[in-house]
Amino acid sequence: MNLSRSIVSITFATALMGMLIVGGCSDDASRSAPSQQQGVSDILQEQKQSGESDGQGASNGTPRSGLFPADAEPTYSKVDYDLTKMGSDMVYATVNDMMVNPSSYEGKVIRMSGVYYHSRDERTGNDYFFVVIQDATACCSQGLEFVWGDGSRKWPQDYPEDGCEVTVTGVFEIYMEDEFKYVHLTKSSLEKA
Amino acid sequence: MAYLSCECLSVGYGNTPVAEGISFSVDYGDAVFIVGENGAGKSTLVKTLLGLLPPLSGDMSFCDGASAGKIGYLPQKAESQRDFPASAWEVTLSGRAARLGNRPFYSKVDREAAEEALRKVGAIALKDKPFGSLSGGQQQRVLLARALAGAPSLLVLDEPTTGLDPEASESLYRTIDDLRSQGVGVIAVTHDVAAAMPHATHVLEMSGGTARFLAVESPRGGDA
Amino acid sequence: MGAFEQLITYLSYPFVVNALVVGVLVALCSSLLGTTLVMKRLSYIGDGLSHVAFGAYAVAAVVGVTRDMMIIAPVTVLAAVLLLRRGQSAKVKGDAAIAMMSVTALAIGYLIMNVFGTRSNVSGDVCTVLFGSTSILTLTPFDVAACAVMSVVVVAGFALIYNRVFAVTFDEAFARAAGLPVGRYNLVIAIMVALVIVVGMNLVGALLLSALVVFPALSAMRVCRTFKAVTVIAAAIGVSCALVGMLASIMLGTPVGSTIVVLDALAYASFCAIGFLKRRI
Repeated sequence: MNLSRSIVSITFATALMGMLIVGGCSDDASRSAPSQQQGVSDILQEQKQSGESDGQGASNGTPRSGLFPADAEPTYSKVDYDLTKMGSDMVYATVNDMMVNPSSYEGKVIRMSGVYYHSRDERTGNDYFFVVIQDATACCSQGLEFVWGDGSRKWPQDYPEDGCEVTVTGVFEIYMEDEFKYVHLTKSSLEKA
Repeated sequence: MAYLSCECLSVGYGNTPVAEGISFSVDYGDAVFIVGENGAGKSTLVKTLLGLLPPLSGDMSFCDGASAGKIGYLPQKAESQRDFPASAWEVTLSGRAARLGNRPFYSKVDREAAEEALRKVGAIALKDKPFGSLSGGQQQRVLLARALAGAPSLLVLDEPTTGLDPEASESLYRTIDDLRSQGVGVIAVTHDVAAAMPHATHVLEMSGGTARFLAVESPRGGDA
Repeated sequence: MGAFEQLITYLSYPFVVNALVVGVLVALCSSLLGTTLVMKRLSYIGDGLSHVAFGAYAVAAVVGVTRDMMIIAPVTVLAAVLLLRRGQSAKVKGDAAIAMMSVTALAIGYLIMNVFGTRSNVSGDVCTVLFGSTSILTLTPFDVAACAVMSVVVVAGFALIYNRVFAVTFDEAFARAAGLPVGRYNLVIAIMVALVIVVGMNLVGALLLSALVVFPALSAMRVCRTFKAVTVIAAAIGVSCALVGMLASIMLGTPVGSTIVVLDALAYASFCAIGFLKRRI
């Protein structure tokens, strides 16, 4: 009697674990893009190769503004919070923490991968761009707004299509709009994954 | 000077009496055996005596140290206790719980009382064994030790020999005799009238919704 | 970056440390109380009460209360008191009452969130509360303080009334006859269970909470022979599975709640095996 109960328990537990592992694996497949870990030095290589390297002196994380041509990508030699190297639970939790404790992140260079979306505020006519990530059960999403470069690019011509995987690197900033506090990544680089 | 004295007691559930007009008393060293058919109200009476059920009417008075907390109770066996993870020692020691007062932990006195109780019922060897692995007779003895650990003046036993073989039953009755010789008053519900009779000082016979209280002539034990 | 260095980096985030501390405290409380609940044949109370807590959460969300624990905790305590206070005498009705209360709360909660809710992502919020995927990593400072206080109260309280809990759990009729205020202890246990449910929802979510309460005790009971040993081992199992589960899930990117519960289930299987071998030898 005890033997059969033990066998049933062990089988049940193994089946449960098996189901969850399989479930977890299928999640990973959909997140394959950000798992290619590109260091900042790789990005610099890319920039040089694509010939967009005019006038870029990226040092200490502060690109010289005003000297860029309109289509130049900012680059950062040092990233303070590289979310592309974190597990998905941590990414979600860190983005949440940025919303809740923005002052700890102000001025820091953040790099994250996610899904790109655009949104237009009908009242002001402003365009907003977001990189969105999901939590492990894929039922909740968080998005972080970003400004590509110096914000001079035109939507929709210059921007990728909604829903594609991107990696964004930028400086975390708190800003005010209509008496409300918002956060975003400014002077961001945008790479399609 | 009786430990317990009942006058025209009426017991039952809700407003429905199961038995009425019960009058009896239990004195120092008495052994009162409650006998009767199923449904006559024996267990109901016991529950009322213990304060688990309110009496419907009549008088019930305890004195000379036999109030709640000084009453030892050996309940009918409950199934749920079988797989409960506890050693015989822990079960026995729990008989001291009512004496803790505001203290969170048992003292040396409590432990000594529990050990003495186990010795008295002859179960000291079973101390560290899991309660659930003991035989029916051994479990009864441990539960009796639990009832005794609280140093009661009055002991209430509900069908203590159910499921015991004749030898174990005799052993239990001998223990009861010993306790009586130390002045403990015993109330026991039993089906086994023949085996119980030699050890009784009084019989409370319950039938037909009421009870008769009889003294038994020359009971065995108690004077030894 | 090796896995170990990554873990060290994660531990530098305050919300990770908060999560580990709260998670361990919650697991500790749950497993301690689990022993009592399993023995009282009330294993499913964790599930029932967590559904009630979900209903309370829904009300709090609809009303727009930010510190939702202020509503959830009292409501859950009330439900626990109603369900548990009657103790043995309500045992026959116990599981039916739990089933009704639990399912009704869940349905009403989800209904009002959908009809009256003002939040944009209703199913997301519901999913988080039910499954607790990353909610332990996104606790507000108030949540952390409340959880810590409630856990300390439960653990200290349990230690103080441990002996009486044993007497009442093993044989309520005897305890009552011996003069113990059984009703009062049932009430205290009920309140502690409710508090544990409220904080536990943050760790594993409402649906998986009963696992956190029940599995460690059941595992310990396979092997241990005294009540004290069961309580201690259950606490050890509960805390280890929670700690390892949390660390594993943040490293692997899996939902926190399910990871912990799978570990609990594996622990149960292992202890079954150990117990079986012990009996054979």
